[in-house]
Amino acid sequence: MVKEQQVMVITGTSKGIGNGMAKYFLARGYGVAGCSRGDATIEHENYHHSLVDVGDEAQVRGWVRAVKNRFKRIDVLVCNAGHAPADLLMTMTPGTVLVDLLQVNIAGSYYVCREVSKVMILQRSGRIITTSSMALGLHEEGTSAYSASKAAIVEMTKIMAKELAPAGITCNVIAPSMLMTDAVNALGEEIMQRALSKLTIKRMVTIEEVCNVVSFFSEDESSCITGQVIHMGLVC
Amino acid sequence: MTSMSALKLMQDSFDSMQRSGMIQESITVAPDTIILGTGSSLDSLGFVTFISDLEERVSAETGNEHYLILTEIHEANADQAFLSAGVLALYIEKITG
Repeated sequence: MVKEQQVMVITGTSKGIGNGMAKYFLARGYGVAGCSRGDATIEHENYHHSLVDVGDEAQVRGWVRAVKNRFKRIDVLVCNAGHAPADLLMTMTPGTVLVDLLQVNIAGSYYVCREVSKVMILQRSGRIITTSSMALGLHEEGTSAYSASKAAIVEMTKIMAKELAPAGITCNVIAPSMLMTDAVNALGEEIMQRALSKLTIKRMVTIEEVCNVVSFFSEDESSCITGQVIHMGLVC
Repeated sequence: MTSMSALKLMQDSFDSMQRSGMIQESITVAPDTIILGTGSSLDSLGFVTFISDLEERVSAETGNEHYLILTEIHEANADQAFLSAGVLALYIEKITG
């Protein structure tokens, strides 16, 4: 359990990894502010949900202000919300798919990190954790748009790490391999097995393993670790 | 909020930053005080701290949520990165009504 209630902001908490992370850290005494484009799927006295499209700059600005007003501080941000569309060869990828990915995966993370970092700058402390993907290490056909968006997250985070270090804020990246989420399940058994066969550790990672990395980045003792990427299940 | 009240909030913000050690020197705010650009006492992180702190003060003072969006300030030329306290005060007066 944490010493006093720490406040964690997690985007994309209605399902998948974000949902699992929110439940994990609520169970460990955190106050959690989550958001998604859909209704809350978590009921907990220390959880507060907001309907937010992270790709909408004004919505993000208002949401982060509301979180600050409610919780008074933000200790940890986990930027998790993102799209992972079905694989499409570049020649088959419509511009609308590309633009949607860039808007949610890059602009969404950018807006949330920007607004939360302002809160953390005033505190002179904070932990920002963004989410990339195993796709960076696999270079799989059909993931050009998705992988490009996740590569951008890594570069954005490294630059944020340098800009925010003087304010006592660390910025790091988690790059999980596969978790059994609805989105992954929808890919089908054949695609899942093909992806697993390319991993170094040929199994799904668990939400507990992902949260363990988030915990590590969030520890007081991790204050000198910034601009790093932890790949899970894959040598990169 | 009047521009004079906004200047007072800026002074409060600078004083707070100095007390907390974020800036070393005492700054007396006047309309021609340079907030951003050549001659400013703030580095980039200091500028973000100042704007974020000022946003909170303006919101608390007015009882409404306000955001200081620099691209909305006509006189704040993004290419030349220049902003004075007077220009910022007029902008705050405008957005707070």
